[in-house]
Amino acid sequence: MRTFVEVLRDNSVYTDHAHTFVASDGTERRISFPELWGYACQRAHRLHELGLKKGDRVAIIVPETDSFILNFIGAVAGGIVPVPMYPPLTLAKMEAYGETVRHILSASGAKVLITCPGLRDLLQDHIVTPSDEEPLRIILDEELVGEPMERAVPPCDVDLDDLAFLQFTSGSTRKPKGVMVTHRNLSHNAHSIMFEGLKSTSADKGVSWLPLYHDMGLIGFVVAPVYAQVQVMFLPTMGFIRRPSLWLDAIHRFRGTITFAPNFAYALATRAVRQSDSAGWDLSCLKALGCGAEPIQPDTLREFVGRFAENDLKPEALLPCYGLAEATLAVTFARLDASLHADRLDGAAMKNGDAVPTHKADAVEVVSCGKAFRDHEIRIVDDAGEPVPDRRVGRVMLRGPSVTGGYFCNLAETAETFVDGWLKTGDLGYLAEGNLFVCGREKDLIIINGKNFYPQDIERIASHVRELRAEQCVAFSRLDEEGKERCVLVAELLKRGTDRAQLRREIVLKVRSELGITIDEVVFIKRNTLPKTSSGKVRRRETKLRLERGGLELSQHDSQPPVAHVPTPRPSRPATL
Amino acid sequence: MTEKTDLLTMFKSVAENVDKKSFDDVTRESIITDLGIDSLSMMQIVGDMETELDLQIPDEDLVEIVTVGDLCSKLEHRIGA
Repeated sequence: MRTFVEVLRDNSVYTDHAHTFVASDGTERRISFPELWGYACQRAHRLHELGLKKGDRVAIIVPETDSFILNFIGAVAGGIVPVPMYPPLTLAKMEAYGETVRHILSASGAKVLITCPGLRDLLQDHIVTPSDEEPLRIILDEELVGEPMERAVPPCDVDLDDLAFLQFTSGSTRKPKGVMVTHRNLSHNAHSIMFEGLKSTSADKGVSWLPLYHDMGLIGFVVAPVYAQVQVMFLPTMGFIRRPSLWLDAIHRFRGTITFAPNFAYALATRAVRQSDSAGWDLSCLKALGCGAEPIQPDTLREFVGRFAENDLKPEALLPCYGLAEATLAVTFARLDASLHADRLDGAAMKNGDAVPTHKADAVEVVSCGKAFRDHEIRIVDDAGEPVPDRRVGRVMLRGPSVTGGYFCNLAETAETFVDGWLKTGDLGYLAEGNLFVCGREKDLIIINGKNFYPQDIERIASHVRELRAEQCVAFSRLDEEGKERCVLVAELLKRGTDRAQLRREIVLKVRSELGITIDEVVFIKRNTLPKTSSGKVRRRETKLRLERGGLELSQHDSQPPVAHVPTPRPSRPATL
Repeated sequence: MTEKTDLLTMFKSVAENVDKKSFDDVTRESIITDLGIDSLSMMQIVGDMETELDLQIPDEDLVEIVTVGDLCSKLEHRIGA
């Protein structure tokens, strides 16, 4: 078992291996494996010269992939703990962005931020407050640039139980938590992913446009591939979103064998790639088309492989998987050479938590995420924590060497989520012959386009609308006819005779401008009819169930909800890898 | 002037295609996030308009786009260049 730093060092003998970085203007930069090690040591020394020591945390907000990776591996090689963060996307949201960044800086204790010249002023204006006792030190990546070190030696030793980096998760919209990932976690997970899951050899090639401040892009393509000497082509995330053909074109040109993406990306590529772009592609090289990080829709994946069948894309390349940042990255992989498997289940039985296969036309489909990696264990338990039999839906718990030690400087949250060696994933699912099927979330998280929203945030903001009864509303999501998750708000009106159309617009606009999520459906109900627990807490799932069964007492003149509602075919949907 | 109207029209039709809802009331002054367009959809809209016009807005300019008019101006600037 080797640390990521040792692997980078050992890989420096592979002079013919290189990563390729594609910039947003299309220019390509190759960095060979020996250079990668040389740069890592050069930057590690530079960071130590600038006063950083082993164990210090350093925040990184750098949009360019090559620069981000060199800073990241430089910090890791110097025993410094990187805290990757996402760059600001629009000036319109700088206040909320600044708040998140300040929270992460304080939660990680990072006193130094590495960024690029283009972002310095913006970040300085929005994240540094005059009252700060110890002002944040900003280092520009150009101050770290240098030639790769010859006969490179890092400035200090790093071992398996040292913290490799902090992965902040979108635990809540404004208060992400920092998962402590050690080199031991990384090494275990990288081996499981590359050798057990992907059966990789050094002949494999990865292609990724995934953001590097997120575990799937960072561990999946920066860390894990080097354990198998796999070369990677990195594409700009925004470049892919703007021109989805960039992704598959890169796979065709680079002869990529491994790529990963969340569900939405497959839908986007199917929609936006033009026939004229794809005409000459040969995608027969792909052996792993990984899918995770958000609920997996089997139809989306089928449409994708159907669309690119003419490019010789192999349908068995589809590879659903499951995991979460608290378990480093991945915990289960479907079998590499198997076709996509989805259970077709009886909808009525599913509402009671029983996954009963059916041949009925209106079956509910749930994708198999495969078996747990060796040395990893999945357990499904009921509300009392007792294990349940196969095909019974319960809470998904994980154990094994990829499970991290918890959240940085946050004992309370750690104790709540990591119990007796088991990680409570917060997902609902069932096992069938060792295969994991994820079919919902324990918490009432709303995931739209890969972004997490807490119903509490939406309810808090909606409560500020004058015509609504404060705290007498609930938000949740449900599936529309196309299987897309839509956001619903059920609210009690303060008084009768309110202009409902106008009020709907006001609520939607208010929530949208503060949180960036659009409520698709607002349902007004009579006073004092919102389902509650005996202690007065709102019951979101019960409200949703009643809405679908027509069991809510709609406010007068509101017998027609604005959007035709479709019964949800399953409890909610999986939050996977 | 024709061009200005055209870009706004193009924005409406591209946004409708991306987000599957109507953007008829949109003006150049509309703030994009207030329209319920998130960063992901916004980038898809930018991408579709860039492809249609066969040009590219530099990445560093994207963060400055707050209103629909900001996006149109960035594109106009490139058309003019």
